[in-house]
Amino acid sequence: MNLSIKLNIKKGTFSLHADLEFPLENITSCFGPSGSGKTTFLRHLAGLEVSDNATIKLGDKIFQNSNFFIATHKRDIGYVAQDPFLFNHLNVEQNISFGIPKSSNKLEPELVQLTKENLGISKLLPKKPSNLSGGERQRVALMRAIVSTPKILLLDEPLSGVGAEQKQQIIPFVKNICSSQKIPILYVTHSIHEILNYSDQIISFQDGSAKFSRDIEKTLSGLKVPHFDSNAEGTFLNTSVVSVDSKFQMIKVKSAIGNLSIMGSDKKVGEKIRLRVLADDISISLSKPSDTSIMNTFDGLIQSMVEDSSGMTTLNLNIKNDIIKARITTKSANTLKLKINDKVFANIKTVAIIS
Amino acid sequence: MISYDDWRAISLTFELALLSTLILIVIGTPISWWLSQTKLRFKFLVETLVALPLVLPPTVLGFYLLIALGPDGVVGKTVNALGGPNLIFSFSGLVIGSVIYSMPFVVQPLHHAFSGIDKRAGETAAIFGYSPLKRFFYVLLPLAKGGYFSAFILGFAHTLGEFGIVLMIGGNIPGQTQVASISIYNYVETLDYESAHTLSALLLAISFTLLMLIYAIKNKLR
Repeated sequence: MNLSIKLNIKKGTFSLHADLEFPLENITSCFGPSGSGKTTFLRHLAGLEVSDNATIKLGDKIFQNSNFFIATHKRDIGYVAQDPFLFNHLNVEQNISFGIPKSSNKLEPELVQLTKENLGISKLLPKKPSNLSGGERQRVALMRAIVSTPKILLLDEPLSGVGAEQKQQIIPFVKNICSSQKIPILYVTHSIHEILNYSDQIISFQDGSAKFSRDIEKTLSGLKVPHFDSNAEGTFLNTSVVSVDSKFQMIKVKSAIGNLSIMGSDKKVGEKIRLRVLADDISISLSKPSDTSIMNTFDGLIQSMVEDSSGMTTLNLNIKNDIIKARITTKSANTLKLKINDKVFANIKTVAIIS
Repeated sequence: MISYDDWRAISLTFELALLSTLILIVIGTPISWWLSQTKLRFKFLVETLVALPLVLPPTVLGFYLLIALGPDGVVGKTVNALGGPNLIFSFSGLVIGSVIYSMPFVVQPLHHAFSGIDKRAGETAAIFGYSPLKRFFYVLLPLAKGGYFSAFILGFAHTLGEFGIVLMIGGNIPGQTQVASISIYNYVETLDYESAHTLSALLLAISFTLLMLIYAIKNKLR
């Protein structure tokens, strides 16, 4: 089944151009920095967002062209957002049945049973969504989408809240079950590891355009995005935007450890943003650096130091009672004569916007 | 004790309130839904019109309705020409008046309820193949349940207490337009305080019991 999609979207500073046609096979990864248009792309495919001059065709079914538009409910697609919506007035079981309306004749008890077991949903069935954790909600939404056996499954970071270990069981299962049901998947993820291990082709989003490729490694190495793997060590920070400087495309955000300046312009003041700071992206100094390009420097106390066999030392820094992980070479740690309870400055080189 | 006319006035009052509220729920739903979704600039005009009965003295509203619904008025003339009944001094006229008078009490809670529904609820249902009509019954209605509850109670209660409009367009015909509030007023006018007491107490007791039951059910449902 071919997917053909032409988009030309311009909204303020956001733009997305796509002119793709490719055969859908198993999993096609969607990769690119936050705000590069991955979600917009999926929402157009789902018919949840509409823009002029778009042409979308799945197989021989036209979803949209210049004088034609098929509404979402007639597209027969599955879509799981990063923060999926579950109906709070229904319990988990009812939420899942909601995805299989009686009129659709789509109920496949075997598929339901298999998915329920493999996604670990059985115990959750009688619960109300408000009592679920983020990861549990995502698993429920994923199951609801799979058992509705859509023509195509759009997954927008569907497992970002699920633990790494569980994730490594779930993704292969989803891949297999969808392949046996002949449901192709478009999968948005920030994990290089997942892209390399589970997908066969990739759509990369960068500089306002989406490109398709079958050569994943080449595509990834050509991208300018900070590569980070969800399994790498780091710290998440919940922040909110304090100010936006559109001239330098910078925003200032407030977090528990203080204010940070980061790249980004498509944000609004007050917007909540989740950041990830990799331990490798923090350098340590004993005095506050003055002539440096690094803008985000915080002082804190070393709470613990762990030296590993690869010549690296991981520090837990207490910055305003929040723990930030930093990793430096053991040699540097010795040169600086670091020890527990020392006051140091953490210089954050880059941060990634998670959501 | 309680006269036949009193009972008639009471039953007429509740009939009027019930019928008007049901009609309001039906026509208030699309209006409220539209208000909660539209991005049109002239939305405020509709909001103003709907809210107008809140601030307008009922006699002003009643006066305009009297003119419009009367045999020489735009609406009255049209209805008559189509073979319809006289609207003025009739129960149908009262229903029309009540619907307009109590409109904000039904539309505002519904509007509020619809606005509070997460946009993704409808999107999620659409993804799973629910048509707009099915989305209304399977998603919007259950999610706006509380809003419908409030709309019903407020619309009903407000119509129960209606006086000015009834006096203007309904008059005082026992069994047709003489609602409880008008009867009470008549008794007081003729210094028949005993009858006024009886009827007032009866209305108070019934209203109290009814509302109590409704709220008790509401809290149980939650």
